Amino acid sequence: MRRLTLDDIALCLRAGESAAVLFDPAQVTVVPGDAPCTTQSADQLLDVDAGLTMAELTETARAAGYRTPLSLLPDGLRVFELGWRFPFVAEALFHSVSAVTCDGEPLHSPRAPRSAVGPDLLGAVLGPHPLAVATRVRLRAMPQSHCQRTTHRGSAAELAARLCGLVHKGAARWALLDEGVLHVVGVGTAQAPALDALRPPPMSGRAVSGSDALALEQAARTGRVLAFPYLGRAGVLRTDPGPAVGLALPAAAAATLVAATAQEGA
Amino acid sequence: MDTANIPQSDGALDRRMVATDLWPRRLLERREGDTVVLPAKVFWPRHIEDVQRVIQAARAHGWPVVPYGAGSGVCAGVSPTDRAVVLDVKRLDELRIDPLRRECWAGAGLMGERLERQLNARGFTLGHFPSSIYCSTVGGWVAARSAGQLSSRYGKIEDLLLGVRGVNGRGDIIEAHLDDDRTGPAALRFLVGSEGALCVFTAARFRIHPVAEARWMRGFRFDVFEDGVRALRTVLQRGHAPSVLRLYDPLDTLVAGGLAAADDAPDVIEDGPISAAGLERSGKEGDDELSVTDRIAEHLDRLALFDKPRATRRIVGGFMGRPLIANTLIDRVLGHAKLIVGIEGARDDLEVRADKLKAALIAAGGQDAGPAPGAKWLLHRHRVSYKMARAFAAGGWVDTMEVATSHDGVVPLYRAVREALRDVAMVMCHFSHAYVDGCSLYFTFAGGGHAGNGPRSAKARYDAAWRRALLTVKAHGATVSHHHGVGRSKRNALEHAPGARAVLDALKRAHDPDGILNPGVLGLGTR
Ligand SMILES: Cc1cc2nc3c(=O)[nH]c(=O)nc-3n(C[C@H](O)[C@H](O)[C@H](O)COP(=O)(O)OP(=O)(O)OC[C@H]3O[C@@H](n4cnc5c(N)ncnc54)[C@H](O)[C@@H]3O)c2cc1C
Repeated sequence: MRRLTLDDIALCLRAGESAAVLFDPAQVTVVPGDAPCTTQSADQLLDVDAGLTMAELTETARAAGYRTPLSLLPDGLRVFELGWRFPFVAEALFHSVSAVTCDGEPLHSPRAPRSAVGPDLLGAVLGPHPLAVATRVRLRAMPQSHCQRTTHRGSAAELAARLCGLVHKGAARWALLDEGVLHVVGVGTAQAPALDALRPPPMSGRAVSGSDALALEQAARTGRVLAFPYLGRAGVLRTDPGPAVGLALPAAAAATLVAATAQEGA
Repeated sequence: MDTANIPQSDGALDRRMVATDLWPRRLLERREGDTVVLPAKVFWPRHIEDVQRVIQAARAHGWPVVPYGAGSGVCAGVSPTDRAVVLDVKRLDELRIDPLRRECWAGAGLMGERLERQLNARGFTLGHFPSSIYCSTVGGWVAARSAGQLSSRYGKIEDLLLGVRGVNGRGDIIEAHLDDDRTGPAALRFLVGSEGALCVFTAARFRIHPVAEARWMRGFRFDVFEDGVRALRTVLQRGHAPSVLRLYDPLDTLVAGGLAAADDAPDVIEDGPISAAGLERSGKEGDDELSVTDRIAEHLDRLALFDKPRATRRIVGGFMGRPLIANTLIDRVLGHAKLIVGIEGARDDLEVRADKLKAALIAAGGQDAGPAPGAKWLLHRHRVSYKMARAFAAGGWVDTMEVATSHDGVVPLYRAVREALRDVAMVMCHFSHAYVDGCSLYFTFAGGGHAGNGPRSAKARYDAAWRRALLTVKAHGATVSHHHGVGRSKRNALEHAPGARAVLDALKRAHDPDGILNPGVLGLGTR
């Protein structure tokens, strides 16, 4: 066993090396705060505890009058895992985060819609080599009263082209391409419900270019495509677990990440 | 490590050309005769291996390396010491378009205008139109997280980016891609915005869009400025997806000549790919982000004061040096705010979308001012001051501060910045990058003061204006830059929690263990 430092992980990122250490999300505890979810209605944002599961989050958001596409993901998945398992979803939906690094220090990304203040600290909680564990997340959501859902049927190629067009237009909030049906959630007046949970639930996701109809079509043939047209992001949801997340945590300390490398463990 | 075959120069003129960017404080210093520090040498790499060799040599000799795009940055991102070598990447200007995948690889040294014209010729657009499109490069955009005039629709440069290639401070060739399973988007997120402190970009991979079929534009007048600010939010949150959405505060509107209601003017929908891309019709003359001061200078020109430069400087410096009086006068005459809005897309769809958008803006308190303001903006939107702004020549100074915050925070922050600067500068503001979840505020400060040092000098006032403005921005929880970056001019305003500091330091050590890449920007490598 060896304590993993930020430098170790930064080196992994730099070289794009595959994870040498394993990460067990079951070992992480994000202690819930007093207010698991508060709304920033002027900006259509939800402030949520990162320990909430997708099921809890969906329920809490619904009670507050908001919808997110997170109900599509596994019920038991917690918000802090989103960036590791479904980085493209977290990238699109995380407005900002508070987190603790593997050295136990606090980190906050800028609380602004966009900024230009150096490397994006949100990166610290995204992908299979996270540098930090999110503790509180500001999430983009949509008021239920604005949600409208439309459905289209067609061949994979037709629907991929349509999805590409949506990304080009940038108006819809999210869209799901699943088994020959394209569901689009955008702004309208009808109070349509958000999409139902997917069965079997996806286990991982990877980004594809939302402008690339070929990649979208290919993705639609092998999995389901979830896109965020207004943010120009798209990805494929997969039922395999995806790449291993490259850290291991001790049970009690969410703030301190301890890693056992494969070599050292041997 | 042999750099002998790489095009290079140690001639004074060549070194002078890459010695600074357009940080206004430096313009002020130069006006007062301060000398510019020249780097030791400039290299013009032809391919990524040249970049690698220069960095390897720099590592061996301990030379600082400063990447240079076109020098249009405004935050002292380019400010080499006399030991530094500058890597001017403009020869890395290859463009490869993949029309099927709708993406392109663009060399870091490609100038924005050339990139856009080449894409247009193939029926595509990047959708990135910074005012500096004629004088900024792909590498500079990615390094400083640039934003274009159509950001409401296409997003900022980081939203368009699919990947990057470059060389880090270890001399390693690196790539990062949004769709790389091994790193997730983190590796890319950490490199974008690194302002030359982690790597030298040699190329960027972007998604591209087919050029829109048609465009509709119109102006709206808001008698109550706050209604205009609310309208930005409404339009975006209601899914209207405009490509252009710009609100000017009353002073900015006034200087631009005001706006009359013209609700009977018919809609104009322009067809054709080139008119949609807009570049063809925009020139270097017209209106841009520094235009307010240019307009002031133009009025002064008419008085022929430039025949008597010293007298002009005294008068302009004197007027702008009394901002409290100027601001009080301005507040008395302030009137309405102007909003310019535009949408693009398929022709059939456009009329319906335009009608809905018009109705939303009128419901939000706007008065329809017809298509003329939009057409005028479009025509003049890339006017860029390639020379030192005339306000400087006339004895004043100007700078811009682009920050961002939540929708609720916009009006309080706007008022607080104006109030904080009341006695040091005239302040105007426009709002040209708005999102569903917040908005950027683009302030222009203009002031005066005498030469030299002392509390009433131009330099002291300039510094005071920035100090107060940034303190106010931070006190309001807003971000200190939305798209110009931090460079060296704003690095002291960055306050990171220990974890963030540690992440940034770890990234710096991982990519640039010897701290040779652009030392000092973003406050990285200075500890
Ligand atoms: C009149 C005017 C209007 C402007 N309007 C806008 C606008 O609308 N939107 C906007 O976003 N900005 C605007 N700017 C600011 C400026 O154009 C941007 O910051 C632009 O991104 C800088 O590009 P550049 O190629 O000139 O970079 P430079 O000024 O050469 O460099 C900027 C920073 O990036 C680094 N850098 C440059 N190239 C590389 C590379 N290849 N690899 C790594 N680091 C590199 C430099 O070291 C420096 O730190 C404007 C500036 C002016 C003067």
